[in-house]
Amino acid sequence: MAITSVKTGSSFTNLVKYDTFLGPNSAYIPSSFESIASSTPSGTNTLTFSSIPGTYKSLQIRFSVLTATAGQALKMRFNGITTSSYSTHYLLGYGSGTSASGGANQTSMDIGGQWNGTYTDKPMVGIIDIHDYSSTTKNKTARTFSGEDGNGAGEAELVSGAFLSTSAVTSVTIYTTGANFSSGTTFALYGIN
Amino acid sequence: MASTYEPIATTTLGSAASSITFSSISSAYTDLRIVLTAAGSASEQVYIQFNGDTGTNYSQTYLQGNGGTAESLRQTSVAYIFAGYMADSAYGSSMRGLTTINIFSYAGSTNKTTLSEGNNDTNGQGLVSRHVGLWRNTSAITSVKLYPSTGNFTTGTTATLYGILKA
Repeated sequence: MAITSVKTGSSFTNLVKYDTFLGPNSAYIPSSFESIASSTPSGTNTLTFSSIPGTYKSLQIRFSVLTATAGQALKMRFNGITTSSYSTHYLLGYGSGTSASGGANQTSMDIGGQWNGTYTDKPMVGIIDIHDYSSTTKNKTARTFSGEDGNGAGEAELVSGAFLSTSAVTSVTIYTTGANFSSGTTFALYGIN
Repeated sequence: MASTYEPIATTTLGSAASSITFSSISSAYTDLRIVLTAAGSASEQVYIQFNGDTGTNYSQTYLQGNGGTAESLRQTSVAYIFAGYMADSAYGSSMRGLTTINIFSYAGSTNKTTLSEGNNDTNGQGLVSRHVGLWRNTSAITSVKLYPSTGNFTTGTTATLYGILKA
């Protein structure tokens, strides 16, 4: 029953009638860039984002990495697949030159550290974009922009990779080729609509 | 409470200015992102400094192409991070370059690494570049100054600062 009048002397005066349950409030509009999960690994060389919902159009992973020893490359796998189901290409600049390479039928996808590898006190950082990750009809392509600078060494890297599977991506594993992540390392997973 | 991807501040220059500074930056986020559409009165290079630090505590490595040459360059122990290219107004008053700057774990206690993209095309001249920069300082970043290597940002230059928050 709608309230259409209030008697004088009641505690409800100056009553304003609204036509929706929102009242004077704005409608909630879900964000198109949402934080799904994050991890700050230390003392281990691997982390996994699992049970990733298929409700977004794209995923983005932003990372800042330190490792216990230098010279580590970063790799990525999907859905726990460790077989030759990936291909990758990269273009990088290392200050005095450029380099490009690639590989087919790889057991993982590159995401950074191809030239110098990570430092112990100067973070390697990156942004990974994975579009159409939940598709069940397309192979998956990832794009990474990463880099590190150590005031005399380092590289800026552009990396692409393919996961040769039409399965939806439900987990992402990132690992170093040797030493563990150190305190101060952060990985954050975002969903984009 | 901070949102996942939130505009913190924005400015559009009503007149030419030698710099744009975002100050009193909250530590509530994980990363910062700056989007700059700009033209320079006398240069194409966008520099940044943090927390008013004008010492030679910065360095960078970058990859660039200018339409004829692809190369990688590096600067060590300099007084700025070279973030990318913008348009030089000498090529047209309506030209603008696009520079995006990502600053990771800006409020943390490690040295600070940035990734930035420079995109400048003025129909016959231009550069595309990808940069990694380092500020050798473990203090939290509370201010960011953007400025051209020489001269001013022109009228209409727009800079927006975003905060990105992890779960």
